[in-house]
Parts: sequence; C-alpha cells; structure tokens
Amino acid sequence: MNKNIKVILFIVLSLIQLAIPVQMILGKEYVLKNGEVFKFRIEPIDPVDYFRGNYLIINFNDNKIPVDNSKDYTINQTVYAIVENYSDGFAHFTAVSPSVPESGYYVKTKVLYTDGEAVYIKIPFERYYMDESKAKLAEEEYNKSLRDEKDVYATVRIHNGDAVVDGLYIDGYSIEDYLRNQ
Amino acid sequence: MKEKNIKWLYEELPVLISKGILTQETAEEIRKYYGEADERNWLKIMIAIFGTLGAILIGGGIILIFAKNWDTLSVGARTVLSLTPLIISQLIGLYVVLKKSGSMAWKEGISVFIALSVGAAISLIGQTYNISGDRTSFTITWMLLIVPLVYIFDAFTPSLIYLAGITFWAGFEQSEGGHAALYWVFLGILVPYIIKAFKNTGSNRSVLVLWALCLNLCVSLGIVLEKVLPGLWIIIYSSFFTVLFLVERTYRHKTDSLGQQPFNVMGTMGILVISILLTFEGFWDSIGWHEYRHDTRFNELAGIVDYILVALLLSGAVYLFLKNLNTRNSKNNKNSITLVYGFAALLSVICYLLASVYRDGSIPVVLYNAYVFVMGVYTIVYGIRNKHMGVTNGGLLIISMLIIVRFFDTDMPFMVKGLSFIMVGIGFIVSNVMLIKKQKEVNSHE
Repeated sequence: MNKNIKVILFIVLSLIQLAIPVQMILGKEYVLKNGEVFKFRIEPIDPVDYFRGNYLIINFNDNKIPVDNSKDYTINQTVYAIVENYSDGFAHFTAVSPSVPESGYYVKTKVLYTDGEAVYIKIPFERYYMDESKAKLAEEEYNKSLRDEKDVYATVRIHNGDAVVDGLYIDGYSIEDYLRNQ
Repeated sequence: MKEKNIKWLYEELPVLISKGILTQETAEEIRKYYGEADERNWLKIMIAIFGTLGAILIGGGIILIFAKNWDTLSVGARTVLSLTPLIISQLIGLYVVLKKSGSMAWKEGISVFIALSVGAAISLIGQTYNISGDRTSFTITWMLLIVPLVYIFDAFTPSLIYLAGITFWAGFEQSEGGHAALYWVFLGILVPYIIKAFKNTGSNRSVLVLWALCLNLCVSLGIVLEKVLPGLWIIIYSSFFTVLFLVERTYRHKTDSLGQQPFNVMGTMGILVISILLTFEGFWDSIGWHEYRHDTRFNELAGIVDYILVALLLSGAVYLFLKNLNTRNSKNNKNSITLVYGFAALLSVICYLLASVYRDGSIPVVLYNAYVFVMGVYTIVYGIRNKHMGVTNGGLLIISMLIIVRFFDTDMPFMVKGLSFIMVGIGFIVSNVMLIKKQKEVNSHE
C-alpha cells in the first residue's frame, strides 16, 4: 500500500475510532439532560466482578407485559416497551409494540421469552457501576434497607427509546451519599 | 534453497574464485540467480515480540485501572480519561506510519496498543453511563474499529485479536438466541490478509496467522452452524477438514517442517478424528432425524447459510479431490495418500445419505471402520516407501486407535481382540526395525 494512502487511511480510521466513543457519550449525555425521569422499584442486587469493573445488578421486578397476542412475538425480537407512571409515583411497563410508538415514553429492547398471556422483556438498564471498594457495602446496605422497607428505587432517564440509569436511591439519598452518611 | 545454505554458498564464492574454480562473472551469475541471502534478524524479531508483549500489558493495565471506577471523578474527567490513551496511541501510530513503517516491532506494538485503547475507551464509557451488558454489540463494535489496523500496519497481532473477537461475538449471539451468520462477512474482511499469508511461506508471522485461522474455524464452524438439518455437521466438518488438507498440498509451496503446514496438519488431524468418531454407531443413532429445527429459535436466513456452507465446502473438497485425481498418473506416490485422505468429504456424503435413507447407522459404521483401516495402511505404506519413521508409526497408531475403540464396543471374542493387539504390536516392532536398517544402509552408502 502506498505510504500516503496509508497515512490518510490511518487518520480516517483514528477519527472513526474517536467518533464512536464520542457519539456514545453525546447520546447518553443527551438522554441524561433531556430525558424524562422515571422511578423504578427494584429488588435485591448483587455485585459482580467483570472486566469493566464492579457493578450492581438491578433486578427490576416487573418485566412482564400482558398482551393478547403473545404468539406474535419471538425470542430476541426487537420491541418497544411503553413506560408509564402509576399513581404511586413509580414507573411500569404497560404495553409492548413491535414498531416505534407514535407517542408516549418507551424503551427499545428485546424479548426474553413469552408465555400464553404475556411478553417478558429484557430490561436494557440493569447495571450500575460502582467503585470496587464500595460495591459490596452498597449491596449490604441495599438489602438491609429493603428489609426495613425503606424507599428503594432507581431513577432512569428515557428519551426516544434510549434509557440511562441516573442513580440508585435509598430514602431519597443517592447510594453514594447514603454510604458516605453511614 | 534455504537461506542458510545460500548464505553459506555466498561465503564460499570468494574462496572458489581465488582458487580459480569460478570466474568473477560466474560468481555474479550465481548471486543473481539466488538473489539476496536475507537471513532473519533474530534481534529484530525478539524486539518485536517483547514490544508487542509490552504493549499488551500496558493496554491491559489501562483497562484494569479504568475498571476500578472512581466515583469521585466527574463525568467530564472520565470522558477525558477514556479518550486520552486512545489519542496518545493514535498519535504514536501516526508517527509509526510516517517514520517507522519499516519496523516490525513498532508496527506490531502500536497496533496492539491502539486496539486495546479502543476497547478501554468503549468499556469506560459503558461504565460511566451504566450501559447494560450488551456483550454482542460491545464486542463487534470494538472488532470492527480495529480490523483496519491489520492492513494499515501490516500487523498480525490485531488479526489474532480480531479472529478471537468475532468468534466470541458469534458465541454470544448464538447463546442469546440471535444468529451468527454475519460471522462469515466479518471473516471476509480478513480474507485478503489471509490470502497474502497463504502465499508467503517464508514468514513466521504468516504461518502463525494461518494456524490461528485453522484453530479459529474449527471452533467457529460449530458455533455459527444453525443446526437446521440434523447431522449436517458430519458433512460440513468432513468437507472442511478435507479442504484444509487438500488446499495446502495442492497450492502451497512445499516445506518439510510440519509447523509450516498448518492446513495440512489440521486437515489430517481433523479427518482422522472425525472419521474415528464416526466409526461409533452412537453418533449415527443420536442424529435425531425427526428433530428438524423449526421452532421460534430457528432463523430461516441463518438456516440458508448452513446450506450455502455445505455447498461451498463440499464443492471445494470435491474439486480439489478431482484435481488431485487427474494428476495421479505422474510417478508421485505422495498422491495416493492424498487421495485416500482427500476422500473423507465424499465418504461423509455417501454415509449421510445412506443413514438418512435407511434411518440406520450400521452401513456407515462399517464403511468408516474400513476407511480408517485403509488410511492407516496407506500411511504405513507411504512411511515405509519414503523411509519416514514418524509417518509409519503414525499409520500404526491409526490402526491401534481403531482396534482400541472397537475393543470397547463390539462383541468380538477376546481371542480375536487379543490376537489383533499382538499383530499390531509386532507390526510396530518389525516396521521400525526395517526402517532403522534401511536408514543405516543409506548412511553407509553415503
């Protein structure tokens, strides 16, 4: 390959390599700034080691969306799950659609499995990364708070099908602040 | 001629000229004929190896430090942090392209460093924004962003990362209920590089790429298959190993060292292993002819890829087999062994059809037992004719394997089993003694 062509190709490649992460950042920042905030009730969580660091798995307890035509959905199919706030102030998935909904808030995700009456979706925001020294502590505090029936939830910002976990909260405090106050 | 020998010859030339055996002109002619003696510079190779290892360690270290996840850092600081190693590695990369394009060490080292920096950047962003564990898109984004490095730097380490990456991607896809047919497109991106390596027999890096490709395909073939038609893997794997075996013998420059012949070695091993497996009736009985895949997990498009794969691999194997069959009359006794091993693909088709028509594996089992036996005998004959002890013992080993596996699953009387063991044992000793004698005769003649 000619040297000049190589140089040009390398510069183009470098720009693409930079553009992809930057585009990821901008996309997520946009959702964080402009997305609507939803509070999701969550179940106990575990820290899991991974190459990317320690994170807490957020077990959202409702991924079941009742539908009449569950046979029309297949495993791993891309779907749009519609999110609505109930009167208790917490968000729930209320409906699912194979195409982009025209109105309302929704997240783009995939079908995990179906049964005769409902579609079960993959929750596309189930990780919350934490400092490795704090992840274990966070899990313990979290489970304790759940037993004490404190208010435990995650806030998620949703915009145009994209969702970003904003924070985890115990009694109105972010988990980082809560751990600091302990 | 080997480079070592050429170098020796060149050292001799001045002596020969001074003694009047060669003229100056003839010596020049000889130089022209053999070209430059380009002996490998081991120092350079060592620097390249340690440079690459260093880059892998530094890049891996950066990923791990990022994985600590400082929650005290602001989002802005993390963004800068995730992109800094990438930008630094890219700037060094630009310097290498401009000034150090002749240095293997620089090219291998920096391309690995860039490859890992890209992975680190995407990982850290995933962490910052709590992006869920979408392994498939993470892996494939990373791989597609680094594969051009292989061509721009003519570097082989990123090609190994890429091969491993796309195989992991295929595995993730299949395990999550997706389909991995795109694997072939991703592999296709590397094909020009692989062809170049195939033609270049002198370079260790090329040979390593080919080894990696062979191992990779052995694994990924099984992952990527949608397994639509039961038992189709029999034809696919038989044809795949046959193509590997024949392609090197047909097209690639011959070398003596087995390490330099990845396709030949993997093909031979693969043909033997699969043929011995298929001598067990259990494999044919467990095909499950009724379990044609048509449930929700079956992807029609990916199923078609299975059929295309069969068609391509099988026609390739048959074409190469016929090509070798036509050159049979030349006095090359290597050819008969090529034909025996190269028959594996055709045999698998015959047996698959027989098994599917009769819903019974007894005929294929007999055929495969006979086939393994014939392979063993031909290997022994070939080894004795060429006075090659390793090959002869290999042939005996094949026959021993056949007897050992049959020992466990047939109702042969112990008398027959015992006698066959003794006969193979005698075969081992006699053939080795014969070969050693022949070797000695040759040595004493010299």
